Amino acid sequence: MMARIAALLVIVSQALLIWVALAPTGRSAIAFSFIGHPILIVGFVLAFIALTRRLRKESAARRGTDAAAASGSGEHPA
Amino acid sequence: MEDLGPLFVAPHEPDRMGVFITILAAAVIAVSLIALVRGRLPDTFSSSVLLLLPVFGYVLGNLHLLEESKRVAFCGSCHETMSPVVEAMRSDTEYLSSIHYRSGAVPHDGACFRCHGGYGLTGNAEAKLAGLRHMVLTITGGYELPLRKSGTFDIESCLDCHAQAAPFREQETHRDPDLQRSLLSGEIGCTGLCHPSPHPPEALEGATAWEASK
Repeated sequence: MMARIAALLVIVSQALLIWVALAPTGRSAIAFSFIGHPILIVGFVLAFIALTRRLRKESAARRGTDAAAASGSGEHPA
Repeated sequence: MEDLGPLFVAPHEPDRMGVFITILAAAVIAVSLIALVRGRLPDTFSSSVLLLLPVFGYVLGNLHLLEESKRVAFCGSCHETMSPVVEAMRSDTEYLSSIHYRSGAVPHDGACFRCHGGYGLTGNAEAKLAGLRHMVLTITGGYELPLRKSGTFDIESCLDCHAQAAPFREQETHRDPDLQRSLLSGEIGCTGLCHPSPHPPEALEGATAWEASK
């Protein structure tokens, strides 16, 4: 869910970036400056949290697999 | 404007930066759409790139906007307040902005910024801060008509071109030490007493009043 929201916010922020890049006017500059920047910051933070969580989960899963493999091959002290 | 042939078209560099930013942002949107549909971010490397590219795009976007906001077309895009001022500048009138614009004394593409940008790096920075303040005032509707210049006009913007110009130096009035002191201290300005106002007063009343005054 968090990744979806982050992706949506990034898409909106990039759409505003395209608007100001192709048609720099007062309106697009205001939207880019006062809506685009906050949206990008929130999207970035959410994407960062989603990525960190995922990395932590993957790392935990790998540790679990390694421990299972080690116990299966009889190398486990127990 | 009347088409007199290619000799009368000012050289115009294509907006490569704008195109580059658009391609970059489109790529980010494409990857983000995949993430949106799948409900999870792509692999670690792609995710890291996906985190950095939008920020990089915004850095470029800000630089692009800083440059583009110097254009007359950008200033004139705020319809109610600025479009009459730009229209008056392009018309044949006795006001300073029109005289400078029509004689080619200021670059046509960046005429507003040439005079209102101030002198040097600090002048540029102040003009950008003023532009940001104008954006806030536009959103909040916190401006009043007729428009007035806040503070005194930076005379160094005028002197940047005129100080070394022979007609300016040869003018006896400009050599008067008292006048020079008054001008440099900001006591008086170039316009009003000696030179015409920069913009017609009707143009500072907003688009509606401007249309009615025609």
